[in-house]
Amino acid sequence: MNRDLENALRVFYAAFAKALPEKINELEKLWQELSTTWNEAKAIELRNRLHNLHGSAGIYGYYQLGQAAGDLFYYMKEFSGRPAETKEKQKITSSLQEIIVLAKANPVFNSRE
Amino acid sequence: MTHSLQKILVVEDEPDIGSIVKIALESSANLQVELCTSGDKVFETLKQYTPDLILMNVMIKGMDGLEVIKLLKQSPKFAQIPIVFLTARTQPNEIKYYLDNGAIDVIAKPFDPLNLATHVKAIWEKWTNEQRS
Repeated sequence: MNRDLENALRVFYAAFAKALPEKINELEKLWQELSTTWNEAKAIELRNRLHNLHGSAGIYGYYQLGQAAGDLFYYMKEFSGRPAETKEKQKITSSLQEIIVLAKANPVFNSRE
Repeated sequence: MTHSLQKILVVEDEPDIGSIVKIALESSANLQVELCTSGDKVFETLKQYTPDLILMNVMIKGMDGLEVIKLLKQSPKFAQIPIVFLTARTQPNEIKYYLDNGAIDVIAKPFDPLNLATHVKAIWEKWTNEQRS
């Protein structure tokens, strides 16, 4: 066990937790805009932010959040290049609701492989 | 001719993740790590720093990881440097694509910072053994 490393990492974990609500707000805002008027550039931005969250959240102990973001990223990728249909919009809305809930959970560090 | 792993170039545009990777590798394995924050800066960095291995995010600012690896593999000077992708995009078809395009291995994001150095060293050992045989 590397205590120095663990102590150094705590600073990053705290910074991520502090910044997380704003990241989630940005996702919500993007989706509100996108669900009103579909715009491919905004869809790409939303996917990129989900991808980023997918890769980063688990590093900071938010495994389920990262997984949910990854699932939504890959789901949205299936219809990249065209507007989401009604059913797809409903799925995105419910997935984002799940992401919002998971972002409020405490990070977990004991489930790493 | 292979030797022990000492120097790594990390290509990562997310500042905190880049710092975590650097700290994890330096602290856990005494590796020397240089951080590069965009694909466009890789060649410039390699002029001053010759790593044993490159650990690179795929979706990075500027040239992405796949563009960078393509150019590196075309370069007589840098083609032999082994490249490991560090990425959240790890579906089987994506991993196959990275390996087909020259990566020696893939580390999935999210990674565990406490085990990252062990993982990287294991990849290096496997690769050096393959070079010998």
